[in-house]
Amino acid sequence: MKLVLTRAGGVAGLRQPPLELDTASLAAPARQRMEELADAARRTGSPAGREEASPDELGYELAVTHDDGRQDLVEFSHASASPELRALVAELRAARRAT
Amino acid sequence: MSTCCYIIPPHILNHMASNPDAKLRKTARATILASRGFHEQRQIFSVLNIALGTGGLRRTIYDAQKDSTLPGMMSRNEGNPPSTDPTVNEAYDGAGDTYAFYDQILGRKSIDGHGMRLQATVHYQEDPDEGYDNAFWNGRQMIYGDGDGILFGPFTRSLDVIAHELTHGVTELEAGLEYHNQSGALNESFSDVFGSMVKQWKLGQTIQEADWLIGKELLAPGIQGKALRSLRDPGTAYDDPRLGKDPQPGRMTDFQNLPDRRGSDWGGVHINSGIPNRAFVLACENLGAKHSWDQAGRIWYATLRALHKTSDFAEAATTTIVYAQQLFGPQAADAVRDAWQMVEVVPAGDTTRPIPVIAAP
Repeated sequence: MKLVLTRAGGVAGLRQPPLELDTASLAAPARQRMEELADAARRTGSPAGREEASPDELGYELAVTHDDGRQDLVEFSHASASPELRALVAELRAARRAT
Repeated sequence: MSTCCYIIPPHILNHMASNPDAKLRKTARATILASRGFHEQRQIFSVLNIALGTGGLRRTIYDAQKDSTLPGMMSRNEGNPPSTDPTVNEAYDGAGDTYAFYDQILGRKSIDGHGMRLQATVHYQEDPDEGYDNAFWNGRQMIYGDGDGILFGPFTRSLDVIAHELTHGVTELEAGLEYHNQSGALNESFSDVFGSMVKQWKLGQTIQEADWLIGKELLAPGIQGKALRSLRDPGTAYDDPRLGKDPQPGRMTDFQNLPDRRGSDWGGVHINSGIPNRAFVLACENLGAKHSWDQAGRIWYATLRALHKTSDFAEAATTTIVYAQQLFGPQAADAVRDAWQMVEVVPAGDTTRPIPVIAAP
C-alpha cells in the first residue's frame, strides 16, 4: 500500500511537498499496523471535492494506492478529521522527522 | 445539512436573534450555536446576521498554548493592559486597527456591522512538535499559528493578514461568496484588498507609497521572496526552492482552471485572486485619488455588499463600475472599467457606462 498525504491551502494558498510512505518498506508488524490504520482512516475521510470549504483553512488530501491498484482519494481538515485520520497524520509526520 | 432538533422552533429562535433586547438575542444565539456543529455555525452566522452589539470595540485574545483546542485560555480582554506576550498584543492591536478602519472609513461596526466581539486565538498548533503555518477565520473567530520557523514566522506579524482574515468574516455576512472557483477567488481578493487598505490606512500611505504586499512580515529568514502575494504585480511575490514560484496570474489570459477540491485550492481561489487584486490597484491609479480608501475602497465595499454567493469576475466588474458611477460620477466609472479591461475581465473596446440610477421621489 502506498500513502501520499498532501497539505494544501491556508492563507498562503500553498500545496506543500507530500509525505509519502510505501508500507512495503516497513517490517511486517509495523506494515500491518500502518495498513490497518490507513484503511480505517481513509474510510472516515470525505471523497475529494465533497468537503465544505472554509476560508484559508489548511487541509489534507490522502491518496491510498492499494496493492491491487485500486486508489482512494479523501480529504479532510484538522477540525473535521476523525481520530484515525489524526493518528495517521501524526504517524506520517513522525516518519518524516525520523528520516 | 444534518438534521437538527430544537426545543424552541428555529423560526422563533431566528426572531429572537434579531430582537432589540440584548438578553433575548444572546439566549437565541447561544441556543442555536449549542445545537450545531462547527460548519453549520458558519452558515447560521451568515443567514441570521446575529448581533450582540454594544456599539463599541470588544476584543478577546486567547492562547491555545500550542494545542488545537479552541478558544484556549483567555489572555487579554478589551481594555486590559498589554500582555508580556507580543503575539497576544499583535493580535489585539491588529483587530483594533481593522475595527477602526471599517468603523471610521466605511461606517461599519465590526464584522457583522453591529459590534460583534472580535475573538482570536494565538499559538494554535495541530501538531505539538510543529509550529502551525497559517492564520484563518473559522466562522466565529481568528486563529493564528506561530509558523514552523522554516517557511514562516508568527502569523500575527502582518496587519494585512489580520485584516485579511477579519474581512473573510465580513464577506461571509455580506456577499457570502462561495469559496470555490471565481466566487472563491473574489472572496480571497476582497480579503487581500481590504487587508492591504487597512495597512495603508494605519501607515497613512498614499497609493504610490503603498507596497501592495500581503504577508511581507511572515516569510522566515532565507526564503527567497518579498511576501505571500503582490496585488500590484501578481506572480512576483516569491520564487523559492521550498515555496515554489508565486503562481498568481494578473490577467484573464493566464487564468488557471483547476479542480474544485481542497488539494487544488478549491479551483485556485488563492491563485486567480491575482486578477481582481490587480484590477483594484489599477482602479486606484486610474481614479487618481490620494489614498486607496478615498474612492476605490468605497466602491469595492459597496460592491462587496451587493454581490451574492455565486458572483463571478464579470459581475464584480460590472458592479464596481455601477458603484463608481453612483458614488463618484461617469469619469470614475470609466476609470474602473478601464482597470477591469486591463486585466481582461471587461472586453477591450467596451465603453459601456451603467445606466444612472435615479433616486425615487
